[in-house]
Amino acid sequence: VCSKTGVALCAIVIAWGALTFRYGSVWQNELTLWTWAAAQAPRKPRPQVNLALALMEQRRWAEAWELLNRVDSQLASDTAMPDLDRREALDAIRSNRLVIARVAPR
Amino acid sequence: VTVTLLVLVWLASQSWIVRTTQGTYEDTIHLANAQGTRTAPAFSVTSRRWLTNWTLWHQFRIAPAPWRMRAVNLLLSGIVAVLVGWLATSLNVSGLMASAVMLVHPLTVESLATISGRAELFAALGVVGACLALLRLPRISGAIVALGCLMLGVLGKESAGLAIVLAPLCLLAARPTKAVWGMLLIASLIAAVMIGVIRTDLVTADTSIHAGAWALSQMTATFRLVCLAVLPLGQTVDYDYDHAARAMQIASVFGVLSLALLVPLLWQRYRIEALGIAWVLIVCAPRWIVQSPRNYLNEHGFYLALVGVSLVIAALAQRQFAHDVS
Repeated sequence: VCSKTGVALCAIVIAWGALTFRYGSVWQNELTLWTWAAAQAPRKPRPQVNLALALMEQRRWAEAWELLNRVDSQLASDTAMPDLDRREALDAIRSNRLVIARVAPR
Repeated sequence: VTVTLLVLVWLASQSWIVRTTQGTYEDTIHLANAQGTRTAPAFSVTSRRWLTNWTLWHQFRIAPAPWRMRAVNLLLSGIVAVLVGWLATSLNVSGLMASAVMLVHPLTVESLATISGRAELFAALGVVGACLALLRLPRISGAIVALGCLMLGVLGKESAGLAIVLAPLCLLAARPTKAVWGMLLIASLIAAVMIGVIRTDLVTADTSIHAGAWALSQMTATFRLVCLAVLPLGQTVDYDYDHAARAMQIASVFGVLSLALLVPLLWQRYRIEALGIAWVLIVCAPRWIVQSPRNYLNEHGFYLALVGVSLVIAALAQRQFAHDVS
């Protein structure tokens, strides 16, 4: 352990530990998880829609509504998205908008 | 002292578990219905991943808090790490380093964080147990125990079926005889037939995409995860493979093929490194063929492959230590 290799390996293990703690903290709750995931994949609808859901759980209706609108307009111009994913995302956007329209205070 | 330090780093790095305030990702499927009312996770004796679902079902009755579910996963991952260390030692490489990878590597987070990630832990327990049984026990009893471990793993997650190939491969790395080569050949044929059956069972016309496009995306996922194993930066639960640049996809295919080419090249002089690389590719390869719609290879799916990475790192560490001493 006291050799150069040992010290280097200890440093690597500690660095991994720090990264594990940092990334693990992302999994604290839905909001932290999907905020992180949405930032990592800004063009993918699923993390954005899930972030909107997490915002809705916290009754942050305006932010969720705005996010869903943004994803909707993104999907319209996205040609790389497989059809099945597009349909699924559009369904999720539609149903969540309905929930916000029904539940959120004016 | 080293072991104590490692355990301390492990517990500190995974202490985020106690900060859990809510089940995340697939946990909601298991733990709550649409109204936010908690219900027991679905369970039946005929369900797939029986062991995983059974333990979740029981734990839900005793200690349903999400952080407790994750704590049980942490305990299971500790057992996996000990077994991987034992496997590495059996192959004459650094067991401590192999265990360290399985304990603190950031790619383990997703398997611990989702309560459904427990399936990966059971699969790894089964596969590593089967490898150890073939390596450490006499022929007949070893085969019987290996079969038991294989069944335990498959009850956790179907990917544990790969033990059929991985266990003889480990044996081959330790004792390369003609009989073991024959065993590996037969095992590979059985595994190929199994994967073919599963493939036709899963793919349906309305959910399938072109086989080439699927393989390209999955190879991109595989290579990205291998890169994350080396440099774990930029992890995420839902990587955007649909928008991956064409250059990245082509580079990934070359990367994966290069890794495959390294196995026979390294086999004679760097056998455990070759075994580790082969392990990673064998674990990931079925996912290039078997389509699970819109479900690209993700970080928790890489947990079993991480055993191969740990063997490579342990072998390199052992070699470097030997060089230091000489």
